[in-house]
Amino acid sequence: MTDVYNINTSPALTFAKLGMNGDRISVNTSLIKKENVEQYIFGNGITDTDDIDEALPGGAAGQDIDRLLSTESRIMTVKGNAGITISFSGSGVIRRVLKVARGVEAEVVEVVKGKAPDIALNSTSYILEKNARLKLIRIQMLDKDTLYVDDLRAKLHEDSYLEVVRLDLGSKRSYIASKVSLEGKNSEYKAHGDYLLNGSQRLDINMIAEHIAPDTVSDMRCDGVLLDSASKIFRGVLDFKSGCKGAKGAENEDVILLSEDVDNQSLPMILCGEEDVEGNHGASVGKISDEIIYYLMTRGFDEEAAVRLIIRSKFNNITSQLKNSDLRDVINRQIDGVLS
Amino acid sequence: MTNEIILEIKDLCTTVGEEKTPILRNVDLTVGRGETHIIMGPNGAGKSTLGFTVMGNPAYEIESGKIFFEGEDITDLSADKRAVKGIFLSFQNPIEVPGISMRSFLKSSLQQITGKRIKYSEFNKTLEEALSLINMDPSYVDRDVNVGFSGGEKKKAEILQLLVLRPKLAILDETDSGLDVDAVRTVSQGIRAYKERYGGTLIIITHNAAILEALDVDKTHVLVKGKIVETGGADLTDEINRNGFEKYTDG
Ligand SMILES: Nc1ncnc2c1ncn2[C@@H]1O[C@H](COP(=O)(O)OP(=O)(O)O)[C@@H](O)[C@H]1O
Ligand SMILES: [Mg+2]
Repeated sequence: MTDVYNINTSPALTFAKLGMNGDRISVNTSLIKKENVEQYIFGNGITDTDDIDEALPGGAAGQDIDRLLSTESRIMTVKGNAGITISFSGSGVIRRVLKVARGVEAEVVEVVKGKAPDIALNSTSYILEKNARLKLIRIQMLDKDTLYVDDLRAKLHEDSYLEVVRLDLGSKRSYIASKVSLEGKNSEYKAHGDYLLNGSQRLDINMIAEHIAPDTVSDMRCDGVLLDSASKIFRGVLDFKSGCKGAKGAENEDVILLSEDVDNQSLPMILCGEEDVEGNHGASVGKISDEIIYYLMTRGFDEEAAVRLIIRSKFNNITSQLKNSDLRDVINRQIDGVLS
Repeated sequence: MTNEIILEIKDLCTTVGEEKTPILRNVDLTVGRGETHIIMGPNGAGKSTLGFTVMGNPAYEIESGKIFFEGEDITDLSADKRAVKGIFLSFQNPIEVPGISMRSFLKSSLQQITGKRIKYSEFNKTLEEALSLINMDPSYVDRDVNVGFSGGEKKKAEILQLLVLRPKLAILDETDSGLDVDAVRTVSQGIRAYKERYGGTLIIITHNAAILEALDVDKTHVLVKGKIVETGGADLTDEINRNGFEKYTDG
């Protein structure tokens, strides 16, 4: 059964321009099979657990996509550092809930790979208990003919801290739907996503920081490079709910366009249900400065090598955070492959 | 001087920008291997333009004239090819390159220029030697290229690159400005080491005689409004430092 689903719909439908308010995907649900997704967990920082005794956070992809999440969630507790690899071999849906226990400080590295032409849907909810600190690194290097939906949700309790670092390199069309609810006082969320898109790759990002409690802080940054006829839309929402006094949010983008045929759209949005807040957004869009290229050329790099080095260096600030050197090499090879 | 000619600029005229503003006017300059030439001139005279033109900066258009390096016409070569041939420019305003450490930048650069893979051990030895020659704290090479460096640190880092890359010809564009007295002395020693150890040839653009302390100057050229108006020996540098450029700019 092929159905059409709305995805990444903006919370405020105020845009006349078609396509800015959200997108649609066709999914053949009969192709979705449990055995098409495998999940490997490394390290002993993550263990399975029973139930979660609190409401799960809502998502940013929208209610239509929620209908696809019929599978059961695997529920886990994070007590320390761990790695997770999610591998698709066809249409699949995976759904997980991870709870970072009170006071725990952990780093989780997730790698998403494989191939799913119809749909690969990865839905993860993180719940950070009081004082928990989580750094989540998510690397997406799916095959180039995959349609990927990345549904990331998080609920932050008092004084907790979530840092999300992500690198999106693969898939043909991908949707990043991320919603982080800052429900506890003083909780803090920082996101830094990088993407590299070439050919006819398309990336649709809907990132929401929902400030509910007072003195919450969010900082979302999304940087990337577009080549060939790639396209990207960034919807970034700072949603200040009534009562989040003293909250601060920021969203920033830095996009490098390396071809005339790319399509780059940005839709920063700040919703204010509270007066005593501070929300900022900024964007820089452009090509690599001739000055930097020339400087590198005087040091022996030909023009192509100079561009490659500059782009590689942009991604360095993410790849350098990976302790696993094999993974780093795989990513660097993939980046070089795109740029050569 | 009977030195073999390394650089020869013939009747060079350049323009900049869409309006094609003329900058250099019929510049002739001949530099022998191993020599040290000084270029002096008031602000806006075209000194940096001269350096950029020799180093193939596409922002500066050559309207007429030719540049020869070791007898070969390089007028139309791109900057990277000139670097491979052995020309180096120390920038008046060095550029920041975020995300790449000075160490890996210099190693890649050396590999690009020599066309050879260089072993870490060998490279580290070269780098340590260069660092100690100019008294530079080794921690700088683990920072991103020029990012967050002070003006003076950026200039020192250019000389560090000079000592690692060891070109045949180095053009130093106001390397001394922004440095304190002690740093000028250290950098001057570094430049001297480049000349003595690696047989380097120098074109030094400067306003300041202090950087020349440790060096034997062969020729001084005065550039005013895009023209070389006088060429002399080392004594011309002293004279300009005493009297300035008034003699050339009045009338
Ligand atoms: N990229 C450029 N675009 C426009 N004008 C330039 C550029 N570079 C230099 N100029 C102009 O050319 C003249 C010479 O500049 P420059 O070579 O930097 O002089 P100097 O180094 O002697 O101070 C100046 O008038 C300067 O404004
Ligand atoms: Mg200058």
